[in-house]
Amino acid sequence: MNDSSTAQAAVPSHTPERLNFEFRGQGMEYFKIWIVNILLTIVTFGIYSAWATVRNNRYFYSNLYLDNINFRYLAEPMAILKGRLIAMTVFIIYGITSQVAPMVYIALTVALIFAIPYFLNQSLSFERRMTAYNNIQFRFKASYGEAFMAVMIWPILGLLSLGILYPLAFLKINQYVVKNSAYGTSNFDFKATYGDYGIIFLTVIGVGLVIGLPIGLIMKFAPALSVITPVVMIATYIGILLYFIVQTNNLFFNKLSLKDHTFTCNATIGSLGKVVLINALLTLVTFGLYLPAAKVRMTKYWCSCINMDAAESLDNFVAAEKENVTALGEELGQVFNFA
Amino acid sequence: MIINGIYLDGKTPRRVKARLDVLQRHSLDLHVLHEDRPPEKFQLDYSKIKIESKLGNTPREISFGDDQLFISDDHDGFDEFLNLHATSLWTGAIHKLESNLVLVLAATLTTLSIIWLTFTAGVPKSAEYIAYQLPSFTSDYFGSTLSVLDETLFDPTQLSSDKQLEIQALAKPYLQYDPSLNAKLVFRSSDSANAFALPEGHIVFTDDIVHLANNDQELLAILFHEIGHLKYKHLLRRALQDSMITLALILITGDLDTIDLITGLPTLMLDLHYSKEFEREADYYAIQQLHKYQMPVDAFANMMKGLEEEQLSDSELEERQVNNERIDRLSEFLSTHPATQARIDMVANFKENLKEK
Repeated sequence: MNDSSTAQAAVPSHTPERLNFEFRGQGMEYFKIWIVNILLTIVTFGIYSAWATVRNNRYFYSNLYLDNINFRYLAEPMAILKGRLIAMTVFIIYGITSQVAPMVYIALTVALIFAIPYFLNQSLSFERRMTAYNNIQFRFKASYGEAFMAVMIWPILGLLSLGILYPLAFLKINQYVVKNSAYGTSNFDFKATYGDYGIIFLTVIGVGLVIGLPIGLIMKFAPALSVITPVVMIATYIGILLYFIVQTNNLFFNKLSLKDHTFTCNATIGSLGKVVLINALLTLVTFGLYLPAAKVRMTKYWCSCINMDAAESLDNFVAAEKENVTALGEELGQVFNFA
Repeated sequence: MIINGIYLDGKTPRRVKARLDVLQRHSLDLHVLHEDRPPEKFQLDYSKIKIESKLGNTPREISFGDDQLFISDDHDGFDEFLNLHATSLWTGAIHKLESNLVLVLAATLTTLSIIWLTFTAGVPKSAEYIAYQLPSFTSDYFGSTLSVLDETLFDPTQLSSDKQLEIQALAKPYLQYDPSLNAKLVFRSSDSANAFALPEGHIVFTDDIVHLANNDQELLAILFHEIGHLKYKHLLRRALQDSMITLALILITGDLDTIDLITGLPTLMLDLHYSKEFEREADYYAIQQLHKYQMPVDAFANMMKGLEEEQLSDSELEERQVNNERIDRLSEFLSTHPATQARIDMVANFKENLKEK
């Protein structure tokens, strides 16, 4: 960070170049890959699922372009299969002890809860390590303590403070994820503040109250009118959810930086709402067969919102040292649904 | 043949124009055309390079050495090169499967029918098998269910001890009929007329359901229904089926990114579907038992009617009679129990079948 900014000062500063993110996948093309994945997974009793995951991820990474250059997904199916088999075994043993040995089950649960930060670190390391852009891999390196604070202590403090510290918990987990991530040897930085998240949370609460209170009153004092309340409530809920997703994502990218390169994201509630609505309708009508195309449309939308303002040529990054990571953390995270 | 592309050295993001010369069967030369220095030549050994399988329209990749990479958009050239020199048929086969429309269509239909069979037959049948195979001590784990419910949902019963003794005496022969079920009847107070079967054998009657029953037969109809749940191990089977659906969905979708939003709904629907199946089974068992002990099977239908009337206010009942069918269908779809009318119809069907015999 520091030496690049001094280098900047020496050179006459020029306006940053805006680089576009773009997703070039296509719904029909991905549908074919997706359905073949499912079929082969079923036919092989789940063994193929590791290969399926790699093909899925390769499709999404390889079709993601920044400045007309695509990302790559590097994981080997065998590594994922190994991790998945171990994770499944742990899950089954865990499930069985819940039925036959409740005391062991409780001990295991406690152990697993304390293992979450460790496996989260492992999982993020694996994901980053398996992502490359311009043949330079990403990295993730965080201590157990950092992970423990971010995913256990801060959320609990958020709850204990009746939500007052919740925006801070949100900030902390994003800081943990971003600041420990690197492209090659260069770490990402995150400049959002407690206030940035506080405003989003306050708006959510405010809108919820402004619409929720009258509805509560109508339901209490004019039950005849209560037919419309479920509709209003669902619409409000979806609206608030969209607002929250749009604002937190915009904030995330607007405060994200890598060296002197910055990012922007300009998603809007209306445009995201349109994508969600079309996706939900078509997925419902096709009994889920539209799911892969919906994923493509959603990815295309987000990519179209995100830009990178490059302060200088992207050629000045250096690959990090080699390291080995296993897929075990990733797979445990998926099976136990914490990552 | 020549394939043009880009070379990356794995240490820097610099992209350098490169040319892959495929000369003969065992000779593969990569010429890296540096702008600032003379070209560099790598002689690639087939056994030491990794050719990524074709995937949609994404750039083709060959990686070799220390994270070195050659990429190319020349799909035709790459396909031709692979046809001549393919070391593994496997990778090409997947792409062929993915690009053949007839095969994709066949895969779609096969997949849909397998999934349908899995969820309608595979999951329930294997859960049933496992439930009956599990040694009985597993159910002891749930031993505290009643005490948990006592703290959260139930209050002590308000029924007089005479009334309680009377009902216990009534139920006793039927509770003890199958000792392996370990069935016990208990009374609790709650805010609605309801009855529950807990897996360790406790059958809970709420005070309201006792008041609601017009006679002993109606009360026994409810008791038989709950004994049916115990006999067929419905609670255990439902828990097993739910965890099976979750595991199956993890395997099928491959990643859990999508699971919360989009697969959550079908999971819930399946769970409700299974629940209704179990209720029907318990209903049928109750009707059979009433008939077996020479009690009027209409007692079950009357009890169902009474329960519905108790749950709905007068205005709702009126509304219901107006557009009965549509509401029933929607609410049945979203409910854990079959619609009341369907449950009453089951009694009528049962009587119909008796007459035919």
